Amino acid sequence: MSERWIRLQAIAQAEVESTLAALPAPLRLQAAPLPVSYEARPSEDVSGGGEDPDLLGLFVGPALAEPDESPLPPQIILFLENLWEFAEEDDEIFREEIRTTYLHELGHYLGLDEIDLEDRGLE
Amino acid sequence: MSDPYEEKVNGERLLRLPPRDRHEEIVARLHKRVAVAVSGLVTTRLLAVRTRIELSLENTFCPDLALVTAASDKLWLVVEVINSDDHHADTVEKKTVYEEIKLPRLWMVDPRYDNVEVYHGTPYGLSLKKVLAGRDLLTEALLPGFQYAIHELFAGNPSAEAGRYDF
Repeated sequence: MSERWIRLQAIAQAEVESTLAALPAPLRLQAAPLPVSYEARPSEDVSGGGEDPDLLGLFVGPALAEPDESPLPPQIILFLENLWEFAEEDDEIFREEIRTTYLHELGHYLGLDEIDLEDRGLE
Repeated sequence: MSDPYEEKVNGERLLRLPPRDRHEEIVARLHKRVAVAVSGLVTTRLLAVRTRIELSLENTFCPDLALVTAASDKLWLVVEVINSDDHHADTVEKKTVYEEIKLPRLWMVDPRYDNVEVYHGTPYGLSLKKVLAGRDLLTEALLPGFQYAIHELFAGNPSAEAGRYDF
């Protein structure tokens, strides 16, 4: 595991934790149990294929209100190498994009679609 | 050696031979490592070794390791450790049923060859994603933090001793 990967993962974990902590309490209670994992880039193993190779994050599994809609456990996956490149290797932009992507995927867990997310500035 | 057990596969009752010591050691190792990964998750539950799971009226299986979603008890990952004395049901019949029920993840752990086949459920059936051996790492994105080096999983291979085969 490279030092760079360890650093990116540490920054991402800290940003997800602080984003979660800043959520209103009722939302935080719903979001806190949702696991977040970190991958370098999308792979067929993770997404089942057919995903954009530049994808920044992915929500898999069922939305909170529809636990029967998927056989997988719900989870957010953040693709750190893609996020780092998107941020043009700037720490501050990387943190912002981690936050935005986490909230975007969390929105899917809470049942929001792409239009709902765009309306909230989380496209 | 463990006790024999019974499964129902395609309506037929099968008496499964008692798994041998090495089989049970591998099962125990996997359970221990997966239990650590799952301990931090409230979205997934690890079932006890060979918990009886009724998949349908025709099929009741006792997988060596099984993970279900906490929200709806859906089976999403199964591990079958092959017993060399009694492998057909696992490698052929049960695998076909897992494919039919669209199981998302299946790991076939084969102590005969010290390898692990990783299958993912797709709309078109189970797809073999990789065959892991040696220093390869067994990982799963939906189990954050879980990894197992294959050579560690199979460590202490008694078949390395001449004339001894005890799976």
